[in-house]
Amino acid sequence: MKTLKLNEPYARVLEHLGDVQKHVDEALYRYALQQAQQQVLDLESQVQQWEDRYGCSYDLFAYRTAVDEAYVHELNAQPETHMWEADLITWEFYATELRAWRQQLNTLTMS
Amino acid sequence: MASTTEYFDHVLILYRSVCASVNLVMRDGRPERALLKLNARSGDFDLYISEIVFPNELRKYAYYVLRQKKVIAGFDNAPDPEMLKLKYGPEYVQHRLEPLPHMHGVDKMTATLMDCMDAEQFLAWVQTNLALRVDS
Repeated sequence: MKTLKLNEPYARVLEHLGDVQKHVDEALYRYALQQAQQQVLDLESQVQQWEDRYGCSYDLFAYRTAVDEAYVHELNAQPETHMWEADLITWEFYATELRAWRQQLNTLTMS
Repeated sequence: MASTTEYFDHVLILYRSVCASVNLVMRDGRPERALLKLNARSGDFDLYISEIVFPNELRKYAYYVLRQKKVIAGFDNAPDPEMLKLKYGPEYVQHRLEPLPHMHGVDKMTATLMDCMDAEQFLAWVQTNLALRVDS
């Protein structure tokens, strides 16, 4: 449990509604849920571009580029995928963030 | 290394001071990792920088220099299976997914192992090896 300061005007309004803590919790829950949902949507959109480009998930792409020499040769040979290593790390960044935000969203909705 | 923010700021200032045009494609800082992507033009060459920095100072990077859309050289530390074999021999499977710095030659037809590089060293390599005109 963390302690937060509540601005006086908000506190006054909530006091008139009854249990201040309950109202603050409800408001923060809705805000956190909305922010987490927006993050997930934005990150899904980012990740989609690489999934479309390479026709697979990040996990499969990372696995194939780490173990499949023929696949790596194929990527290196095609001008449009010459810079696949840059895609790999950028994709990793957003795929990992997406996983974390889905977990946050799941935690919120289960709480 | 300085903080990630300071490092990325330094990279941007450096490239803006040396290259004719710098396009910041992405800069995204999160608690667990930070990302920088930029493109720059210097002389006849296009430079592409992608880098993730983690709080434990692990860096994943991919730097390329292209001329008329042709890869002249590329530097990255992806766990390339061919490079892993070269470094670890038959034991390479135990090192899968391990970052491994290496360099690609023209059209990515060749690859060699090398030490880890950062964006500043990449720019220095380009200037030294490709005799770039400095646009300041």
